[in-house]
Amino acid sequence: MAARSNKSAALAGALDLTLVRVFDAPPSLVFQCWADPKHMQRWSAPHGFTVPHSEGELRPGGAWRSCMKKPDGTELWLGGVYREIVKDRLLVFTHAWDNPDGTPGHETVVTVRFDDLGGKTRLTFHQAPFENTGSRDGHAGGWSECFERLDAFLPTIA
Amino acid sequence: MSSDQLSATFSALADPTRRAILARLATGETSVTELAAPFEISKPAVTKHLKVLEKAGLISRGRHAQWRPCRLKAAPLKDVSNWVEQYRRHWEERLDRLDEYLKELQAQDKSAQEKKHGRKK
Repeated sequence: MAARSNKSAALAGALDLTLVRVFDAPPSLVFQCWADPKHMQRWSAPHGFTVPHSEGELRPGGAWRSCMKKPDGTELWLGGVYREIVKDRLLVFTHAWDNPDGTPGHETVVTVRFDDLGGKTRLTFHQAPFENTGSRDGHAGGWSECFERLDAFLPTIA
Repeated sequence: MSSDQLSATFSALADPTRRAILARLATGETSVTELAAPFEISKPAVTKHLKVLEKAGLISRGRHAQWRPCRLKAAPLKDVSNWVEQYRRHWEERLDRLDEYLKELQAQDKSAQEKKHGRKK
């Protein structure tokens, strides 16, 4: 069962997010679930939420936009731009929740990698809160090391 | 924490030199000269980074005229860490649903194939 073989952990020592999961389905299908707004509407929100709106232009530079409805009826809008698309292998897109005034909030970069495990798919999800558009390269090179000490420090503060 | 404060923290952190400065300060307070030493940049450049960090509330500086020690103020970092944790839970739940949805899709696919196969007979 996929749920039992899940391996998910925040990337050690860094304040960005990595989740790894194995799904019992081929990469072509899992990729489709991420790439097709019709599929996205069926799963792409936490439990109890619905996705009344989902659209996207699947090409580098193409925009996507989505709405999640909370159980209490509140709508949360979010959107971004596709950066990199390799069919059945890789999706990179920016991701920002709307502020209450409708302007885009803090932008993150989401990278979803789909690896074929012989009919199953290992999905690696990465979201980097510090990356701004166009500054990815500047952040390469061990910034998680920079944070190792900070990470050790964090639990010591209230 | 207001989202503006969070944005200020993120933008202060969106620089490798400033992150390295914070990592150094996590080991204890120190002077600008000492902070500048490991970097290939001038003291005024380090001072500029310190101003950004100070404005974001990530460090504080002593009031001694000559030696103004820099100190880490980690509370905003804790907020960032909490923010990331929220995201983690959010995506975990979405991936749970993806798992369920994939099962549903494959079950549909299988039953459609069986029907097709049945018709052939």
